[in-house]
Amino acid sequence: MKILIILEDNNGKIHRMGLESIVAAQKIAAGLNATIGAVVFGKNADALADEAAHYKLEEVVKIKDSLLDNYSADGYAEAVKQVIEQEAPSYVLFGHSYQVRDYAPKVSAKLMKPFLVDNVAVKIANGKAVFTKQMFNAKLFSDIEPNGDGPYLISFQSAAFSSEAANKGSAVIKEVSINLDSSMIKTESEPPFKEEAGGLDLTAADLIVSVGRGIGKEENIPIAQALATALGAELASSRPVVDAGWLPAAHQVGSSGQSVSPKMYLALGISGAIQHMVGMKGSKNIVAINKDPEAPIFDVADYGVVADVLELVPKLTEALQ
Amino acid sequence: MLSNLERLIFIILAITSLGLAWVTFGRMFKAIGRGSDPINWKKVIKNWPKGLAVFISQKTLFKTRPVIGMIHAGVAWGFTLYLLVNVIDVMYGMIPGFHFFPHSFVGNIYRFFVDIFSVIVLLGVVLFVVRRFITKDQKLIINEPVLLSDAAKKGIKMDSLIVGVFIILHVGFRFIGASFEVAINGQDWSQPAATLLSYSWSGLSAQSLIFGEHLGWWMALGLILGFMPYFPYSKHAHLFMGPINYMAQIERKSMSTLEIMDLEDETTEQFGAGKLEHLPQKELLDGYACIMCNRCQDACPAYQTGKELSPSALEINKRYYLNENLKEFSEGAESLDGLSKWMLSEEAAWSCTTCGFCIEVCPVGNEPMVDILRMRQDLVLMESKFPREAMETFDKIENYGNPWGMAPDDREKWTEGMEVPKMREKGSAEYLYWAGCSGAYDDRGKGISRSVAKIMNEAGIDYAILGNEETCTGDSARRIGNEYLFQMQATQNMETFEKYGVKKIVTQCPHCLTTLKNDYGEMGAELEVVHHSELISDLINEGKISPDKSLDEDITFHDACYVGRHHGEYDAPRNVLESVMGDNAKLIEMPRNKEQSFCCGAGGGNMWYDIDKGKRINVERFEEAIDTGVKKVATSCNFCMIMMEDARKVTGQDETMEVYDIAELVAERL
Amino acid sequence: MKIAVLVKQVPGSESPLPINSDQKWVDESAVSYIMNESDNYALEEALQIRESKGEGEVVVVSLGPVRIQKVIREALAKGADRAIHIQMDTVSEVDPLSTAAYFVNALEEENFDLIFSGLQSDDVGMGQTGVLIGELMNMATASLAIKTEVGDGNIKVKRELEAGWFQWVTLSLPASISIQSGLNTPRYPSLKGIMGAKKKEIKVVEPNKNVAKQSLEKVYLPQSDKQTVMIEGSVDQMVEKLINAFRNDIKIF
Repeated sequence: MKILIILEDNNGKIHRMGLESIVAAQKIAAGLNATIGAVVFGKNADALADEAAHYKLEEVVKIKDSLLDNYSADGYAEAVKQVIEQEAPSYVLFGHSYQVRDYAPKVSAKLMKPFLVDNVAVKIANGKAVFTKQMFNAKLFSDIEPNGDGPYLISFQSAAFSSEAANKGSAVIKEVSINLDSSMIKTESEPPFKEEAGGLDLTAADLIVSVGRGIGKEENIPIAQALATALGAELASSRPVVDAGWLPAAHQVGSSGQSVSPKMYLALGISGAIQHMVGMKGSKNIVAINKDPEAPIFDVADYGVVADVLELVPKLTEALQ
Repeated sequence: MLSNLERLIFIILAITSLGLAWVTFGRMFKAIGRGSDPINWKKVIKNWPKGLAVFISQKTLFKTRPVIGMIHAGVAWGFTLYLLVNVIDVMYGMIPGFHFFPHSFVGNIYRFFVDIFSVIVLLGVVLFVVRRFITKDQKLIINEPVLLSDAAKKGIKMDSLIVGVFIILHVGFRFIGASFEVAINGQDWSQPAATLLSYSWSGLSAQSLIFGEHLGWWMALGLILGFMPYFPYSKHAHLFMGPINYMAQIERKSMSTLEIMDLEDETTEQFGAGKLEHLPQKELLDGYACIMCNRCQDACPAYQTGKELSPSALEINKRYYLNENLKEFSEGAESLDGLSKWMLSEEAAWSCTTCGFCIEVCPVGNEPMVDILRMRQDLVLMESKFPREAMETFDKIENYGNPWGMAPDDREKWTEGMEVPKMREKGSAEYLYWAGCSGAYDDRGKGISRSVAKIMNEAGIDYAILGNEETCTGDSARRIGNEYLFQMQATQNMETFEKYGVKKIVTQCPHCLTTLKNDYGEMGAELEVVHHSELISDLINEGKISPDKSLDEDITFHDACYVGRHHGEYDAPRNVLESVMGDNAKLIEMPRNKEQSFCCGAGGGNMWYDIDKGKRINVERFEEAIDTGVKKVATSCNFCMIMMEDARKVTGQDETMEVYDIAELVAERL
Repeated sequence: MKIAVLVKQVPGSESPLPINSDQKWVDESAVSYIMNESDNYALEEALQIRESKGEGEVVVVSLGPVRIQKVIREALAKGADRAIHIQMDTVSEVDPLSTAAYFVNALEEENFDLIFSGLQSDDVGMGQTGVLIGELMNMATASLAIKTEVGDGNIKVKRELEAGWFQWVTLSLPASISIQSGLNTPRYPSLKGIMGAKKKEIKVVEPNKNVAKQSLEKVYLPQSDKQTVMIEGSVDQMVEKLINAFRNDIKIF
């Protein structure tokens, strides 16, 4: 049985999710007695292949085709489809990146084989691999199994496995060719670009440090801002802070402000009154620091710290820098 | 008294004036008739005692600005007397040999009052003119950023000047004429002031005196003839349009309970008001009754905190639009599309908290708040133009049954650890206790619900709650203008009430109170709904509960708009407070209390969106509490509680002051 | 210009999700359903394109049991011209290939220029349907669109990449695009819209069931129940524990 991993390029280095996929493959291979191969392609294929060769893999399959130098959904999908047909794996593993979301379903459609996505775990049961996926906004887990014959396409969620656990070793690099023709590519892409951070869009923020009345006075706001900067987070606040004029209204989170759902919401000196809570309860992780142990925010927080914000935060900021 | 030629000229002028007045008054009433929802004029006329009472007593002017009100009363009574005076003067001028009770007691009394009131009116109007043009009383000014048409800006000054000058000249010349008459006929101490003035003419020839008397007559009555056709363009029309407005008052279940719309009716093209003619006729009449005194603006929490809303500007803009377009509009021309373009800005419309203070203080019975509610209906139902947060709130109500967007099956969480009977288990009960969305999800609100439940348990009341079967009454949806969502919510709740045979409801949320009682009432529900303050007050009076009188500190009470002005209850919550106050504690009233309570700022949908302009309304109110010097503030509404608590933090009083609901104060003393 | 918008009815974020006794799905009778969030944005994008072009048709297509008529009506009330309801029971349906096949059957004869779908559904969250349909119908595809510009015979799409990067892609028509939330402001239906929706056409089609290639074995609650972890100790110890949590549990770096 063969497991094939599709490695993604991160500017000439293997994307972290690719290394995480190696760890996933290790687990499946151990349970089902399979060999593991990795696939690289694109303009940095050589560098990627060299790096991949230092891991404990059966082989590294390198595809070189100029039509793959720049990303296109059609190009990548067709290439992966062909290499799957050539290599005949049972499982094909991807990291669940934006790029994979864009082209891998096309592979699924080309092969008419299922694509099980965004899995957070895999377990082996009765000689089969069963994959665990979050559903309903991560409120429930589900166990999903592929049906029929393989190959099965599988993607894992970022950080479902730890890239550091990928076994080192040495692998043979094998170059293969595919049939790719520009008529197969139905899109024209421009080069990627980075955008200047425009206004404050808390709804798009991944990390938010939010400050409430517990910060004490306007002069203390920079303490919160420093923490936000150290974390690479946006600064938000509860309504009383805006009402008092300490921060502009654009920072307000709550029922009459913005609704946010960042990966982490760090609430400093916020009591957790309902009109604030309804704006941030969708956050994946809530960390609350407040000197009042009875503050309602601790009911919804994942992590709670009963401490004086003015004492703790500067030390936290320092430790992060 | 007049010569034949004079009589002829007068007849010609009178006919001309009356003819022109017929045209202008006709246009005025036709314009009013352009509105929707016709006024039942027969009923209005039958209502004449009401109009007369308001006119004679002038009592509506004393609610605010009592001193100005007193002066106006003098002017108004004087002017009323002058109606009679003008008739008698015409007779005196036109009928040869006519004199009104020349040497009799009746005539003397009449002349005495005319004399005194002439002086009173003159002094009063001169004072008013000085107030407006010289000392420039701030209250008569409508500040930026309120939308006020150019015609209005110019017109207010012009019209005030014309009216002021008209009255001064009309009464002045009448008075001067009377003084000449006294000079001719000899001193008359039933006309003391005129007699005093008559001494100024002592050196004049008999001919000059007669000329003076005629001049006085002609100026006085000539000005009347000149002014009559102008009435419909002047705020002075309030003389009669004000009382008529009172006679035409619409009986509503509460100030904010408008008629239920038939949304299914396919023939209805317009919901709410997008143009002037969409407003009911009564509301067009409002524009003509408006005296442009700005009392409503003084009262309005939005205006007082710097928002774009002035209810006064609303009515004034309406009036001046009518003035500027009277002929065309009265003949059926369509008015400008979009009230937000000229009458009231969109932001102003959303700034209204529906507190009803403007309606409460208006001396002529205007209802600017109702215009705003109708405008909102148009913006929501027809234009889909409203604050983004309001849209999110609609979605939350529709999808989760509460404007917070909290999980519908968490609605009973407040009962954890308490014995609170559920309707689905009990089957039926005398009272349904309606916790409402804030009473179910807000931390403090849950505490209030628990307090009420504790009180009812202690008193042995037969009640039950709907728990998770409760869903939002739809109050916020209705006040923001989303009739469709409101009716959906109402229908759902009414079905649940049917299921359990609910007849009586007690709730601590005043917004739920008015919606269940009045708006659901308009939809056909027959429910007896009381506020928790009323129930608790009754329980205390009946001795069913006896809380400890252990509150030893002074306390102030913030009247909720929807318990006070909208529901008429001011005593029950105070009675409840008295029941927990010890001998050393006093209830200190804020300056704006009871009927004149100042809104906390959360009503009319403002709980859910932010009008980011000027000062926060809740801070404005809380500062009033701080100024009383008390350390404890009592409320009787979930929203007021949230607003006062927020304001407490913003004003830095979190360590020094506390806010309590009356139910909390009682429950912790049982 | 003919635009199809794929819309799914899913449980709201605050909805109860009681698991069935067979552990294969949730008890649908207890769920509060809403329109899938990213589908709402996709619908708005399609309506705006129709409005800016001054012509065109927006057809909403949805798969599910009778209860989904509510979101279909909602889409019609917002301005879609007509709807296609692929009526079938969707309990435990998790295979996007299977779902895509049902859609392809219903969409084939219509010859849409554009197919818009939300990036992923808030229930199952496979995030593939739009791209699969596009590939099965031999269309150009793109995902994570945060801006669209319709040109002559093509459409330019701004794709969101990770870490603040973006990329413009031009696709020939017909194209299937999955739309990311936040690219526009979805409208609220006016009363006229709501009333008018009652009269708009909803074509109900009943597909032949195909064989799913992945299946749901069971649903269950995540092992770690949400308990607040209280971090204690001296201030320095708290700082250390917090950074630990950031790194290892929450994984922000």
